[in-house]
Amino acid sequence: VSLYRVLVVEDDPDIQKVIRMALRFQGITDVVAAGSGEECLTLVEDVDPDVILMDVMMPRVDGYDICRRLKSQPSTSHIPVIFLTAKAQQSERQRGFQAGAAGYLIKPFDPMTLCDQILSILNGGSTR
Amino acid sequence: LKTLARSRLHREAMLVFGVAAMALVLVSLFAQLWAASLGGEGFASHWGTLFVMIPGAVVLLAGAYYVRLISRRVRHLLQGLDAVRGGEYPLLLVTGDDEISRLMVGFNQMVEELRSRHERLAELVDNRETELVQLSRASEVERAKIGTLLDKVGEGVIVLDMDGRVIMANEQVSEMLGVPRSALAEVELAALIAQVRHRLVNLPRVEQQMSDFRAGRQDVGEVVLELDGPGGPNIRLYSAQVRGADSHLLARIATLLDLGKEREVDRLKTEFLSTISHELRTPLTSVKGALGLIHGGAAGSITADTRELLDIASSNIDRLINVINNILDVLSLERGQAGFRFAPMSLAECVARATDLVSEQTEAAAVTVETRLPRDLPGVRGDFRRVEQVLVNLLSNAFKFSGGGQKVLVQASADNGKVTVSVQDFGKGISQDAMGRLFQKFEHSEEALTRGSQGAGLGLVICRHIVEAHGGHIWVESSEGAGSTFSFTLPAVPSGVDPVSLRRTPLERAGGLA
Repeated sequence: VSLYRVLVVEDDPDIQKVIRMALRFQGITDVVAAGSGEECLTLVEDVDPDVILMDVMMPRVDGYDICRRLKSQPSTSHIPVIFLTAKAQQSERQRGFQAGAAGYLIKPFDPMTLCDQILSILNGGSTR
Repeated sequence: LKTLARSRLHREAMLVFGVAAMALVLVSLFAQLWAASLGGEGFASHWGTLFVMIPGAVVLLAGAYYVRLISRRVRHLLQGLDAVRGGEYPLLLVTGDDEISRLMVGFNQMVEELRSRHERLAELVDNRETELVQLSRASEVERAKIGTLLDKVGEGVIVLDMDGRVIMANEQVSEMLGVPRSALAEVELAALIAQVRHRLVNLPRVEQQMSDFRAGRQDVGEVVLELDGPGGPNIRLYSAQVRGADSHLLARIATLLDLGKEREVDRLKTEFLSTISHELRTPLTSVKGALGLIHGGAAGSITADTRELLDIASSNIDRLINVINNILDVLSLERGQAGFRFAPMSLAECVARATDLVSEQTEAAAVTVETRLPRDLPGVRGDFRRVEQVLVNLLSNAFKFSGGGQKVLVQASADNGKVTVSVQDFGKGISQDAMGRLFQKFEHSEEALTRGSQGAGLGLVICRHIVEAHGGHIWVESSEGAGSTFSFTLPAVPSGVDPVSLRRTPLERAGGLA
């Protein structure tokens, strides 16, 4: 039984697959993937995930924008959002936290510790 | 007499001769009266009267004629003088050879001399004028040439004399400031800037700078003109003195640079960095992720050979990621966008963490790290992770230069409000030539780039930026064959300030891979 339900928002299908496998390997089997920010917004209420793993740079609407929208809606504002992004600059991290993120993970990530890192953020120790 | 006389001379002469004639007449009258008293005819005698009147009249007429003869020529002389005064050169008709005639000859000679001198002078002035016209034509041609050259310069250029007055200004100045070219001539720099006064966003600052600039004429001046609000032209005016070969001040040259172009380049660079960052990291994420999953057994068990091959692939992916990270790091440090967080910190803790982080490398290089820190080492003011990064870079560097079985020594000492940290290896050392280039921009470190993952060159450039951002400096001492010592300084904090411990969980450290 999966402890968590995770919504992965990632436009790159390969990375989506790797994340899904990495999570499954570590016991999180309940993973739903969205290929874009818009898809995330339509899925999120039905899926009602425990955590959202969100890419930042996506076509049309970026991850920060989606995060802000989720945080502004009462039905979704409680869901922690963790950015998983290639943008490593300090200023980008700040933007992420300003948008309401719970944590910030940098690509490329180590798939074998991804789950631990997510759990660590959810337990209060965000990787600021 | 007054009405008869034609000149003062004439009048006086007539007076003198008149008196003489009257005296003669009186003498004759007395003579007659005396003769009559003796019993002569007296007044009754016509002969007597004639005897009295004729000599008087003759004297008077002779005198008048003589005086007229003199005074006419004197008048001619006076008229001649008037003519000379009026700018003419008159010659007088000379008759006779008395003193007045000689005076008139002298006058004629003087007039002749005057005329010839005047002609010579006029000729000289004429020549000078021609020369001046030629010179000014030549200087016009030169000026036009310089003007054309200045117009070809991409930046605005203003040439000012030492009084701050515009001698020349090129087309770009007029375009940048939106001021017609005719309005640029001969104005003072301050007056020129006053013409765009109403468009200045940073007016108080510019006025302050202009008054500083005027007060300190001997110094180089820099003024930034922000026009028309956000997005408007942002012009940097930089003025410097121009000295001749004998270091004599010739002029000032002010260059105007539109910072808008620089901002555009800056924006493109940021965009480029962002793209590089994203485009390179995204595929690497899939590769690293897939390799990690296979290696971790997510796709079933693997043989020892497969594991070895995966290790090679993984470590080289990490190398590549490291190079990308270092390039991005150097660029963001160079642009001052690294976002340092300075706080009092314990150097001992930082050294311990750094040696811990490189423990795998230490094993692989078969070296030992020896740390010698004094017990009373004061804390330093720094960004813990960045100082840790410097130490990790210097340690990795030391390992590369060391042979198996050698040790690497980390030492620190406090002196004069700063702490000096050194990382010493006993390896092959660095050549004098290479030492000079070690801390330079990464364009110069191709050699270092080819060294591979831990790219000594890039690492050291990053170290220099980090140390300098802390207000310290970094240097290397090395002798070939005896090893190298890399040292850097950090500002010490006064004792009594508790260092902020920055402990991270192992998970966080794993997250810090990037």
